[in-house]
Amino acid sequence: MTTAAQWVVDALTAGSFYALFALGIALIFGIMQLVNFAHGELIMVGAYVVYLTHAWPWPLMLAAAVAAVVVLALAMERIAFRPVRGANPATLLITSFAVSFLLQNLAQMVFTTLPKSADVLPGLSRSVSAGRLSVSWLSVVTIVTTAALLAGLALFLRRTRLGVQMRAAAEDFQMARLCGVRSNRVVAAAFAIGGLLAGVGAVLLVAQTGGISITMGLAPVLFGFTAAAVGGLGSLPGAVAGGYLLGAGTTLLQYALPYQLAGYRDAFLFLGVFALMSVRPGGLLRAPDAAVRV
Amino acid sequence: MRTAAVRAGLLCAVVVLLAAAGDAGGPRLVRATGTALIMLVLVVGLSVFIGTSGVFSFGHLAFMGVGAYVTVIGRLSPTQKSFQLPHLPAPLAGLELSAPVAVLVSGAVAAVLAAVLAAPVVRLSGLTASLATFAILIAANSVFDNWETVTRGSAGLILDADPPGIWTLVLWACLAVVVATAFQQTRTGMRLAASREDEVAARAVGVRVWYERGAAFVLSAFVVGAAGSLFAQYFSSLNPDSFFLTLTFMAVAMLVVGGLTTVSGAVLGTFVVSAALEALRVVERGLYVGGWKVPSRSGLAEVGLALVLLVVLLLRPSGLTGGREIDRLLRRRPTSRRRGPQPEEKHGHPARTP
Repeated sequence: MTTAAQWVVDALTAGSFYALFALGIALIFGIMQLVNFAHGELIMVGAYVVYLTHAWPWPLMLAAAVAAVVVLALAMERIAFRPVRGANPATLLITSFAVSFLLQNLAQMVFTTLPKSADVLPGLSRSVSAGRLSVSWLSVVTIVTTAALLAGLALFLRRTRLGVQMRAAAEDFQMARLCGVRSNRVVAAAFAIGGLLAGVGAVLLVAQTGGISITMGLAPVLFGFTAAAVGGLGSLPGAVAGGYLLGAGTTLLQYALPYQLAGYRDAFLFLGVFALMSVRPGGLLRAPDAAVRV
Repeated sequence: MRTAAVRAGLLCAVVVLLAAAGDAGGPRLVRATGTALIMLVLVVGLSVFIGTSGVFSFGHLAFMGVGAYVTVIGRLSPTQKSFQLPHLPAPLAGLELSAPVAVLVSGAVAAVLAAVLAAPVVRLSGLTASLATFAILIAANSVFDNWETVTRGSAGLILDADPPGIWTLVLWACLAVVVATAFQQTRTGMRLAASREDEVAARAVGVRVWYERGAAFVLSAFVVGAAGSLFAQYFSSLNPDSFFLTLTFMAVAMLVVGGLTTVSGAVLGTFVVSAALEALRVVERGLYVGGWKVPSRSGLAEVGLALVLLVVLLLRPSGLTGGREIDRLLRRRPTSRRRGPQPEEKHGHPARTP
């Protein structure tokens, strides 16, 4: 019983991270068909800002990290992605690959490859226990923050003018433009929100792992992609569901795999994803037969 | 078939000339030439699938890794084998392959693996296929990292055989070029190229697509596996991260810079990017320009490569060759070519070939 409860908490914590990352990716994909590989570098830069400002009071640190990441996301859109907007998805993907590689190596030139560490929000490493179940405050904060951000985003997308325009653009970009939606504004908004999610995710990630390195964006972006693809690329509820599903999957593998096979966790996970994609190419929340029939 | 012969001949001549030029230089340049020739086999192998089918695969480096590990296991001397891989199963422990056989066996093993994985991949299209191949890459990396009995995990393996010379590599590179050019001119290759240009139209005239994609996937895995074998033999050492994102990025950059859809693009892109990287590496180590020292900065070469790739993507999305093969490039340019956007883009239709 306790194990099951512990598993649920672990799965929710991991799932919250994946959902945050997946949502940032899915939001941008829905509007401009771009799989943003450089999303991981937003997280990496956010983490380095946390490293530089970890002596500050935490609200300031959070604000600095989020602001830096949002600015970087907007700059990335303006400089690299706007000129290739409308090109085919493979070209967009390679462009984001190049941006990611560029940022990673720029970070290497500035911060070198040596990993840094920062003890963020040390108060959160304590845990609360109920019976034999022990939950760290950090898990609680992660789960609650993610839930709040998801609710906020849902409200924003339904209740505000810009949010509705973004959903319209995700549905049919051309049609939305014809109805007077400004494409630059919606795309920039998508990047800004993606940046916000990445910034918060970066702070939580550093608080959890304590380590900062130039390649740290890779794992989040891979899991984010996978979650988004599992849920159905471009579908926002799908991305969130995919994130929590992936969290449950990784945690389950972690608990269930015998010691000798533990190292293969990612191999099992990604083979599972590969198998799922070949059975349901559109993802879980998409109609399986969306392909053109000839 | 005559077109293919002329094209392959011209490309091989280019490869031989550039290799001869590189071979005449100092040891650093010879090393860079060898690296470029191995990358050439890899990139040409990638272009067999990516270029002809238009489906982007990020998973091919997994096949390169498989080829490399097969070669090390096949070529390692028994004493080294008992030292580096003491728990290797008996039939593998006794294996001793000659260098050319190792290349072919590596390619074959990679091709068999590709044939197993192809069934799901060929049914997917566009981005889903790319992401599925990405999953292959990550799963393979995890296996290389953990299957200690065969790969020695993250410690990597060291091969104790003599590395191949430049001219052996030239021979393999030319073979890869010939295979790729010939494939393009086959019935399967042409049908696959048709499906790249317009999948719905191709299906409508009876192209099965899954079959053609599968054939290209397996053939390209063979060539890429052979590239992995050459990589292992030339550098004599490997570890799981040799075949992960950095090399994937380099190979993709070469393919895109040269022009995705053609073998000539693969060849040209490989040499241009290799030369640029080599030049950037010289700057990276620090040098004196007129008494002013440029400080050494690690990562500079990669930053330069990323910038080159971005500039090409933004300014010349169809690559340096512009989607034309070498025999067409050498002829006079068609006069109807105008500046400005391609006609497809005017209708808001995404262009099929970047």
